[in-house]
Amino acid sequence: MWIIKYTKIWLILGLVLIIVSIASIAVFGLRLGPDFVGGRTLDWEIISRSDLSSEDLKQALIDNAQKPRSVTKKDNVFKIELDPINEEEYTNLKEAISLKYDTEDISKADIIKERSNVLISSTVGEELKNRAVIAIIVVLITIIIFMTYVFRGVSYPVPSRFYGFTAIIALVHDIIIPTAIFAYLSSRGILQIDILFIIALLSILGSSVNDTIVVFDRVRENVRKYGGDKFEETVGKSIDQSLARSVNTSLTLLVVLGGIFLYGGTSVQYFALALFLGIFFGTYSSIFIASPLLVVLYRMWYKKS
Amino acid sequence: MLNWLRRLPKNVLNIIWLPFKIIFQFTWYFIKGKTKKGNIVRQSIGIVLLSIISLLYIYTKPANIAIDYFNTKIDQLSKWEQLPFKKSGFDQWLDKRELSKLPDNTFILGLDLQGGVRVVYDVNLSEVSESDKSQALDSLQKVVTKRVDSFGVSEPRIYLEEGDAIRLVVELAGIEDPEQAVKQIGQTPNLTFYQARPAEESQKLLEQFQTGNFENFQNPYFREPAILTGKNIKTAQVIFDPQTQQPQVGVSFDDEGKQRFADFTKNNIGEILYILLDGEVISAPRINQEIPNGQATISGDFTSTSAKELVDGLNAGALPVPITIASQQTVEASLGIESLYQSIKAGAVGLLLVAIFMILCYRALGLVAVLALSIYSILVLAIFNLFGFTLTIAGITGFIVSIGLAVDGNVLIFERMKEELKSGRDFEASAKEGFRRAWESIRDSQVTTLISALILFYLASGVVRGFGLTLVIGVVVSLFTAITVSRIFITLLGYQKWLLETKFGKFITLQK
Repeated sequence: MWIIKYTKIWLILGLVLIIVSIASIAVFGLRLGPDFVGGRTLDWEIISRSDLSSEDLKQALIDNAQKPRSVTKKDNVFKIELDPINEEEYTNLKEAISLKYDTEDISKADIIKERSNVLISSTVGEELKNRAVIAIIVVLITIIIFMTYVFRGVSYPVPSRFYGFTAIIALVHDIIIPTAIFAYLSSRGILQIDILFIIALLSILGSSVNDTIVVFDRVRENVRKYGGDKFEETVGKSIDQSLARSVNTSLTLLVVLGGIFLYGGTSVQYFALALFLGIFFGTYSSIFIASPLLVVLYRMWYKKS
Repeated sequence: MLNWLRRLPKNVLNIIWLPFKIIFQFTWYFIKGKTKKGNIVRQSIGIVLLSIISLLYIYTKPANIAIDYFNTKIDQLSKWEQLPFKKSGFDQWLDKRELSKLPDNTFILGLDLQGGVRVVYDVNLSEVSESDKSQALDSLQKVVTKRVDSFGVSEPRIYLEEGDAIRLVVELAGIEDPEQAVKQIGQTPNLTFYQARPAEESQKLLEQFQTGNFENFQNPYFREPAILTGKNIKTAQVIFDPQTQQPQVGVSFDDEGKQRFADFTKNNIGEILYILLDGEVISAPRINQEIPNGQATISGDFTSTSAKELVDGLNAGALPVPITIASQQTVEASLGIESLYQSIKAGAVGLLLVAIFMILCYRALGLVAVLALSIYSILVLAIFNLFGFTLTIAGITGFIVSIGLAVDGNVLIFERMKEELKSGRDFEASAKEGFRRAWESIRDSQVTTLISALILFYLASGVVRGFGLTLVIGVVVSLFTAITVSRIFITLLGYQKWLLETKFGKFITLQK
């Protein structure tokens, strides 16, 4: 009940969070990874020179007319990001670098151990970007339609479209905040926006609505049971009743994601982080955004009619 | 898309469906019915059976070891053959003396977990007319397949992907030297056209070399340099002689080739032309007339197969349509294995944490949830194996995430049960009521996940697709386990009155 009592505070807090998030996305910008802009990403181990620093290698690459976007070193493996150079240019580059770090005791072909080599041309990147945008839009629209369908029977005391609308606002909240955090991290050069982030966003879309539906299901049930006279009270009661479920479910999910974050490979680590944030804020918003907003909408609706 | 299904006669459809129907009805027999005491035992047996069968699909080793052991026992039994009390059926069985082993299903690992190379080519169809497109793509696929076959990779996959543009995908798992392979796929094999030497000239040269005199060494069979090379060929295709309907091979040259071929044919009517592919003569046509327009026809005793072979050979010089690498992914085998272990570790840690959390939170009911989750995992993995889906990092991640979703169903049921218990009902009634009420929420919330997963699966390709697929399977199976496994075991738990009296089982009544 205390949640419903302070609706204004929660809504203002949510609004502030959304505005700050939009602002930080605008300021920091999303640094898109090679998945969307194209590029060649290499994992190289240079056998002959274990003392080589990433700066050295970067200079060596620049000397060979291939300015890398970034070079990082982790456990003797260099992660190199280049423009989407073609096969021939790549072979030449590799040969030149092998020659530079040539030693007597290792044959030239074995100097560079290529652990992975991923090329994505700019056109493929562009295409993937468009597809990601389409996927998000299609998922959003389908979810709106589904929400309206699910709550079609409940047009008392508020019209069923209010449920859908509220869920969408919560959804925007849940997506914007992780995106803003990722924008910040990407501007610091810690990560890049890749296709896994888009997958995470789409999963957040699902789980966010999920949480909201569970709370609203309760509202629907309680309205049927007690009638819609004291709507605020009913919503408050519904939150109370579904609170344990919401917290426990998201706790289990957060635990799983924590496991992936700590023990998964680098590629899925940030994916787990994005999902972690999304699920955390998804649960938060179903309680502190969606329900208060529903009550506020009810009050406005009630006043009008 | 499924029109061909409708065209099939009904009885064919029935035959296709029959095995599924039997499995479905078998399973359904065990799990159907109200959760009455009499049914529960049968239903539990059904669930256990289903899990064991699924488990055998995932991990055949123990079963096969048992079968091996049994087979040696039968071998020892065969000494009984001398005994007088043989029965005919038993006798026959002894003669075979062997139980067949279960097929060794192993998971198909994606390139990111196994190592290998995946190359996606952009296919440039702008020069090909609409009607020839499918033929051009078909022969492109054939040419590339032929080149890939020479690498000796166990199961290469070469397929066309139709999205915004048509792309050719080549996947080579576990290849030794991916760099070389990529080079060779895109490479132009050495196709050359030579003028043959007249027979007497060849003879003279050969005799000279046989005596050991290699002065002014020349190829004894044809004149160098080559008249044309593969890069001069635009396309080659099978055509049919309008009069005799005899298959022929039509070749068209580019501008440079046209000029050179015109000059050559003008001066050498009646001579033999050698066409060599990587040093091997694939055709030796005679020049019948001057060919000024760059459109040559090779006629001869072709069957449509041999004509096609020659066309493929000629096209090997020039791929029927130009291709360029759109994206490429090379993963070294050891890195793949590392990722595989990392994913498994992450999954195992996640599962373990969930199990601990659930048991701490819900005690005996938590144990039921853990059991339900284990069965859920077994079923999903068995489905993966059964249908031969490829496991990728994204797929495994999707699976781990779907475990979280499956937990959700159980939590919803338990929380409802708690409420019912608080309102004073007994365990059995609470379980029933809790399940009934939670079901609507479970269904609605899983459907939203299903929607996004399906859209992911249809819109995306590659990585995203794998994630979508596992999520779709996960949601469907978790709905199934929620209505069957969880329900049955909760009811079963309700009958263990002694357990409900203990601290472990009584958690709910302890609160408030």
